[in-house]
Amino acid sequence: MKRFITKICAVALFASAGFLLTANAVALDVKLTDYLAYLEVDHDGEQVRIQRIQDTSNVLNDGFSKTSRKCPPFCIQPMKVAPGVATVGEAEIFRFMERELADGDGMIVDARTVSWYKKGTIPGSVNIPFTEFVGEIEAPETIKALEQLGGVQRDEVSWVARSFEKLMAALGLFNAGQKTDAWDFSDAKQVVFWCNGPWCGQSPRAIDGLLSHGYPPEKVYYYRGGMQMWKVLGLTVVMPESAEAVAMK
Amino acid sequence: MYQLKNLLWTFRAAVTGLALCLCPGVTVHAADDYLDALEAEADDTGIVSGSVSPADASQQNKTRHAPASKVIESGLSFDEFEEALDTRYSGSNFLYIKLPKRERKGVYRFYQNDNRISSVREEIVRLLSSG
Repeated sequence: MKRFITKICAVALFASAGFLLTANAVALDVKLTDYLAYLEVDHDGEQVRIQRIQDTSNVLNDGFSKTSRKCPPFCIQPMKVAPGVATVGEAEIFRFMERELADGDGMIVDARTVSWYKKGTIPGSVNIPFTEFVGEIEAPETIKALEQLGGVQRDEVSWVARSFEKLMAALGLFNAGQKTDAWDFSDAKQVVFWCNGPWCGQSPRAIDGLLSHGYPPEKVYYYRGGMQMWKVLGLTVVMPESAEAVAMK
Repeated sequence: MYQLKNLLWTFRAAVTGLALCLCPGVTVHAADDYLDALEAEADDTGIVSGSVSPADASQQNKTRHAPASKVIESGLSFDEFEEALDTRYSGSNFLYIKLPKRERKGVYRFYQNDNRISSVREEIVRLLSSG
């Protein structure tokens, strides 16, 4: 009997611990949105919590506090990066992380070169530098990048079949618009591209390259705020080498 | 007149040919320039994310959120082990701190043989239950 009671107590303790943790999360002063205190994403097999720096006097003091860079090449990007590609903000990214990313239907691509990526990335992101998307469609790195996004290389398609597909595409039937002569993007993922922020051209270049290979624009999203806005909002950043999450200053 | 026309055609062909030869070079050169500028700017960004000066260390501790790994880092001293529980495994630590000092040492010895957080947590619960 005594043993039974102690087990009950242990379970109750666990439950209260869970309650306290939840209460602690709810008690965050600086939440992500009015309905979300924090969220957790898988990053390289580890769960990383995304939340904001809680110190309300915190200010940026690194390179991302810089106001001016030479333009060109660091020119302010337009809100609409390409026809059919939606531009998203942080709240949409959180929702994307909770749904498409968690379900495996989506990817978040850090389109910056490795030297930038090493300085910290958004949890849940995969680094595929923009240079991988802007090459020729036959280039090995381009093929690898497209396959990473869920594109499937097609065997040779007959002229008749291809003509039929084009007709179906014009009519908007059978996902025919998501196929090219060489690639089938029917099961390709929804992809969010981001780079250093509104002054960064790396993710727009990646998107431009990707679309030129026939990737459906309705599956592509552009997070224009990028690392600049991510940091301004005090959101968690992951250091790639150590996979250590740090809410940076 | 015919000769002048011929000369013009030759001139046009030469200019077009030259332009065609130079265009890819210009593109590649421009791309290289962009990559060079990116690398220079990356270097110029300076402070690596997450690194702070000693003066900021206490501030950094407040805002640091290490992910909860499935294993506790191995080779920790007793104090480091307790700190790891406190900072990274709040749920387990909540139960752990209810144990008397002697049994906490027992959990530490258990961790030295099996550093999976799931196993350590089970051991904490077992000790709590058997108490």
